[in-house]
Amino acid sequence: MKHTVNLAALTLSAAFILPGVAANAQDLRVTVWTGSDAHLAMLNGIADGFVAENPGTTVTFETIPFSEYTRGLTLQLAGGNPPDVGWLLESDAPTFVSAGVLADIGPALRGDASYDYADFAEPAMGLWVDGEAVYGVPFSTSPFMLYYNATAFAEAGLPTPNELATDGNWTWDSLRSSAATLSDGTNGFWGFEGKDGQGYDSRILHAMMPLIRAYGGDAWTDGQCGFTSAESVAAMEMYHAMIFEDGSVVPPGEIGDFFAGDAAMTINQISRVTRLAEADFDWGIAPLPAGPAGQADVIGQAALVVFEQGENRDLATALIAHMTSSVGVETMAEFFPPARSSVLASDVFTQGNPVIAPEQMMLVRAAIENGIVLPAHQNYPQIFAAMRPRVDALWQADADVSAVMASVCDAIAGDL
Amino acid sequence: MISPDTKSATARKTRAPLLTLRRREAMEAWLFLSPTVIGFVVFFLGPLIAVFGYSLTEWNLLTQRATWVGLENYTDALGNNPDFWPVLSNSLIFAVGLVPMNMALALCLALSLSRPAFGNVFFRVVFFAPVVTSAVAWAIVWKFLLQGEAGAVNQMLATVGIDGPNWLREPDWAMFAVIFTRVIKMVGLNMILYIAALQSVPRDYEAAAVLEGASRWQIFKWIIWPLLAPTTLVIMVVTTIGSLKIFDHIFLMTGGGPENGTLVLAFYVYQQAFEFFDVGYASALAVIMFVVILALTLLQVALRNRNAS
Amino acid sequence: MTRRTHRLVTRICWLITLSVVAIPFAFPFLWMIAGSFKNAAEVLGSTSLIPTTIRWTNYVEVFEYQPFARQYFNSLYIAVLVSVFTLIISSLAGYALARMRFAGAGLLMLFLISALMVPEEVTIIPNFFLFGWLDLMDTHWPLVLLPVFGSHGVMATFLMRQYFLAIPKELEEAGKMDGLSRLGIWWKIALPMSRPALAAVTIITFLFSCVNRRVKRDQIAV
Repeated sequence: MKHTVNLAALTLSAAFILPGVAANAQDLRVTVWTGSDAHLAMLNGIADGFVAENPGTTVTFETIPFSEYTRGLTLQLAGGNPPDVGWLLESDAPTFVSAGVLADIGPALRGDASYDYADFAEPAMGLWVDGEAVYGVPFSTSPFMLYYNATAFAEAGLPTPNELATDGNWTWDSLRSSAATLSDGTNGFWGFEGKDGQGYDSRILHAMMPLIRAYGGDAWTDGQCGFTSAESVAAMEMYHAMIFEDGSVVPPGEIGDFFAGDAAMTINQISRVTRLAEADFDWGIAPLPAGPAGQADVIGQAALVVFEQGENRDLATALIAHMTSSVGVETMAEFFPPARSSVLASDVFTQGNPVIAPEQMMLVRAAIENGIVLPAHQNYPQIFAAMRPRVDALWQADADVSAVMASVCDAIAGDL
Repeated sequence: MISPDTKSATARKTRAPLLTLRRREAMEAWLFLSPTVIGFVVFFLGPLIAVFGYSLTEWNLLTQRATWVGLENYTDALGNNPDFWPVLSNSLIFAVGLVPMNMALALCLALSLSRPAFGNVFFRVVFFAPVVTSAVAWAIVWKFLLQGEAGAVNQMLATVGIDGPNWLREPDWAMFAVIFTRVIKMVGLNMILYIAALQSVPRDYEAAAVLEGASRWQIFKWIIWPLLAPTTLVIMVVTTIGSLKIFDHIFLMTGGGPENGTLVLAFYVYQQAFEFFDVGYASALAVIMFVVILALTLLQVALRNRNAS
Repeated sequence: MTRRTHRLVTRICWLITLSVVAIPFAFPFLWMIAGSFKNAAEVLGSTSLIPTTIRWTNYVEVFEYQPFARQYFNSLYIAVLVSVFTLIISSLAGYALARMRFAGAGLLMLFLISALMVPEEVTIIPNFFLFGWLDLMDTHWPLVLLPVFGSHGVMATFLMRQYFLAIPKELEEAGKMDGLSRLGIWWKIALPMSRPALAAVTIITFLFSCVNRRVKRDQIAV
């Protein structure tokens, strides 16, 4: 009997511990999708500077994994538990802006002379402004670059992509032949890997866009689906041939991680450079290969936004201003290329990266200046969900590429 | 003339006591049941009614704007939306594939392991272990083992000369792979239930039958199987319901693909609510799902009752 | 061949067959254990069960990279709470349904069974808003309350009911004659007699609470 009374007491007292501690009014919560120690250390460092200037505040960074980020964020907003600040991906920008959940921080930013709002390039701000209103500040305008395993190229005696680029011979055709030569399927080494290994899954658009744009096509323009254009189809036919005829691309369902040394090349953004810290091979960064339509650089963007539902909107706006000030942007430039023209043009940007050589940082700068942002749309979730199963059909050996692309356009036409 | 006093006095004597034994028992019963009933109403009945209410609106989770649309969500799902029927058929295929495989395997394993014999306890643990593994870990490991080229499954098949398909990337094989891995994960539970039922079969029946010269098969068919009938019904109903509700496993293994080949109802509801933020439509789908499960359950129970009588 | 040898051989054949069948059940575990000692490249690369180098640091890193001990402790104490609450509530309800007669018993059981048929997705959104409205979003309350009153709680109730039905009534009547109230009979007679069922409920509830991830993910929205 005594036993059970004790157990009951324990349970009841546990029940009182359960409710969470009430949040302090001056706490700011920022949702991000990176879990990388290096990234978080940098972000916390910037936040420390903010806290020093605004005593009595705290800043916490909360990681929601990338694959669940939009959903997790929406749930927090819907559940009445909104973060104060958050990262937002370019593909979500139109949806969130039109939903009215983002606060307009334009007046605050423009009004602060020391902030120098005009320093932000207009093309970079494209997705985040609506007339006079500013809904987010891009902190990362990160172009897609070609990572390559220099050791593998040297061992095979092939010219590296950078060498080919200087000669003006760095094209998708030369990428294809390099990949085919370097690929050794039986030993688990492939010539090319899709972005983050998700080229057949959550990142199909990231995998397709560099190719399609290099060939002159595009995903959609002005409500018209661009996947059925001759250029887009040609691009995907080339990729399909690489996967199934050459066998040089990591096949669907397989794992061939470039950063673990299992693939010779991959297309990715410079923030992934943290994954090369333990690499036991030499690596380099080259521009994207050119296609029949020339050089087409693709940029992924992420911005910092303030949520309308948050309780500390002014303080949150001040935090964003601090993080995207010239100093903040310079600090973040190590992983997240800046949208501030002054920082982009500076030597700090090219010389300041501890891991990437200056010549390669200049390639990054060129890509930003010439690049076009990834496609975005107000109905992006529906479009992507409708696209993805249709695109699955491409990853079969006997796929009829133009038919598949036509079915993709049929599926998304209604949402465009 | 009858005085008011005498009238009330007689009335007091013949009126029944307020708290009859029956009423008191009922009150006590409801007291005992109060936590369950309250919890049921708050966390189940209320939400169910709420979901039905949502299904009559068009409500965006992100913008939190809702408009009344009546039965439009239902007509959309059943009539206009070409995605719905393939999803429903995927769910039914999954159930029809999983339930017989699961139950047959559970019964075979139970029959093999119900008697005390050397090694039986060990194997019971082995077969039950996947049941209490986290679904995430199970799915991750199998996703890895089922890789097209480097996966252990295909490598083992290659040693006997079979060229295994890319399991999770071909629409038909993906469904099979998902069913098979789910069966392996959950069959231990049904096995334990069958073992418990088998162990309560009186051994005299079997002994008598053996004395009369019955074969093992005859013993099974005429004695054991009928005695297992109640357990079989419960297992069949619960397993069917579980297979129609499946979500985690498919979400983790195939993400609904390839080509939506493994997109089942629960996943579809989730997609509509949490990726498209269309809570109204998702709620309508959820109600439809509930009706389908209810219908199938009643069907199973009715069929079994008819067989029994 | 003697009868004993015959039995031995049969047994060995059985054991071999069972071992073969057990391969898909056991292989993932062996692979996980082997993989826990491999480094990143090897885990993704080879499929052998023997790691080429044993890397003990993986286990250390688990605790470094995330508050694993804290998460483990959380899962544990939530499982304990869920088990305790489920035990109390389901044994009370199961007893009432088994031993007490009252109007609406059948209907109530029907309602409870229907709770088993409803998938989590149906009720998750309203529950989500409910907890938001009660301001319990970031707490552990949803993780405890939902399993207790959900399908596992219902199954536990019916399990307890089944067991209570089998307890001989004489014992309870003896208790009544000794002057025990209903609650007293439940506490002093029915519960102690139903230890196997209580054990079963505890084990099942505890285990399923530990591995139930999805409710956590959506409700906590972390």
